[in-house]
Amino acid sequence: MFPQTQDGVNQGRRRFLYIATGAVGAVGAVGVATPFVKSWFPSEKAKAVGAPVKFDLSPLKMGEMVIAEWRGKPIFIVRRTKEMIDVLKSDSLKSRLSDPESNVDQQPGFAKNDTRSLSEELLVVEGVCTHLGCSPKFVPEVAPQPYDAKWQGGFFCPCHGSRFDLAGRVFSGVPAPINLAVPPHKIEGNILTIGEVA
Amino acid sequence: MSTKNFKPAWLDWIDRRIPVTNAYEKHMSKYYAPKNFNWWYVFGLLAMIVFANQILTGIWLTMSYVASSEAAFNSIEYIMRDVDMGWLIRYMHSTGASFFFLTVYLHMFRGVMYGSYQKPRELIWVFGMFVYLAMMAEGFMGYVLPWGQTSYWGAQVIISLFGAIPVIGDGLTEWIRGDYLISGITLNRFFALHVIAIPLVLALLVVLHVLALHEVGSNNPDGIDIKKHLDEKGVPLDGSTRTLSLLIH
Repeated sequence: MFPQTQDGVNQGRRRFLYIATGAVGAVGAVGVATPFVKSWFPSEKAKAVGAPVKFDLSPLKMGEMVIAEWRGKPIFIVRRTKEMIDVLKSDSLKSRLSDPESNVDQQPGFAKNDTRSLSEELLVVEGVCTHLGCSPKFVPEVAPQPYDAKWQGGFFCPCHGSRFDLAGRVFSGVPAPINLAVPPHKIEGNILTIGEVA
Repeated sequence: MSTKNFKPAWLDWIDRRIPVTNAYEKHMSKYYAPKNFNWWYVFGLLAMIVFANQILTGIWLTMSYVASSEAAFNSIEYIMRDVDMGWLIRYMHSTGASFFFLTVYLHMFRGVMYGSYQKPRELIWVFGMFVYLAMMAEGFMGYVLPWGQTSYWGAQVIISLFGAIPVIGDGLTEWIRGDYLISGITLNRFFALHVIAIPLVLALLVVLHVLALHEVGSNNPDGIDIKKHLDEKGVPLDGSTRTLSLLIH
């Protein structure tokens, strides 16, 4: 069934053996590489430190912000007033935003709305500017600012002047390219859990 | 027996077991370099000297450096202030790194200017490009080791570059860091890569780079293939074995 050359070498069988040996060797190489590749993933200790964190929301007053920490990142938590929420839904604000509908994948599915949140009142965003990673300042006042005459409250990054609204959506024409990230989170009563979705 | 072939008994003993003289002649004493070399041809050698400096000062730095997120920065201050001439060794290493790039850029410019990457020297160029890649990785990780602000943010920016890769980006950055943020875990693996893995790769690539060069011979400003014009003994007419003196004359 296998063709033979004149010196009696069975070429087909030889080719089969080459391929079989190579395949077994490749499986072995993958097996050897496995522990080396796997040991680079976050260790159990790193996973424990980076586990979801719980945060008590009850002391947080209307219009105020607190900063929690999760995986080394500041998490901004803002309890927004009715007026703030109305601003977020207004077309006059949205027309100045770069991605008002949150089309860029910077939030869990549940936060792809005008307030980018689970409940309209409560904003939970990573306080890390999407330009170069500075931490933006919380400027809730509705008053003209040196960097924005029509300021209606939001976040201002002092490093390079990026601006975000009170849903963490980025304004057009600033260095930051995309909205602030909304971390996975869930809310049970007054307890916010960051790092986990319901 | 002519004096040319005379060699001491001990060297003969070694040569019968490992071809030391043969290798020395092939790559050093009887390696013919074009006579029309100019100063642009010195930078490969200079880069090699800087590489040796990096290895030597690097070994000495590891004697006083502590690779941990708690102790790294203090150990750098210790090297700078308390270790005798530690400041000099550290500056030789960090400034040496800059000179490594400087010499390699001039070396590359020479290659581009005289077309030294062309047939039959394509592989020399390719190995050189891999050397350059390894150097960038090596330099970046060395920059992170002091564990100061510039180190941390440098690491943040460079590791984030991998996050731009679609689909696997986020997982890849997590895998490189070994954590959800840049931490001591990241520092420790960068130290291992910086002092062992990448220097080994660099040394291997330099060997391949030079072996490939010596197989085909050096290019020169006039693009003469010196191996094509030989005298009756088979010695290149346009070549000389005194490569360094060619550059210094």
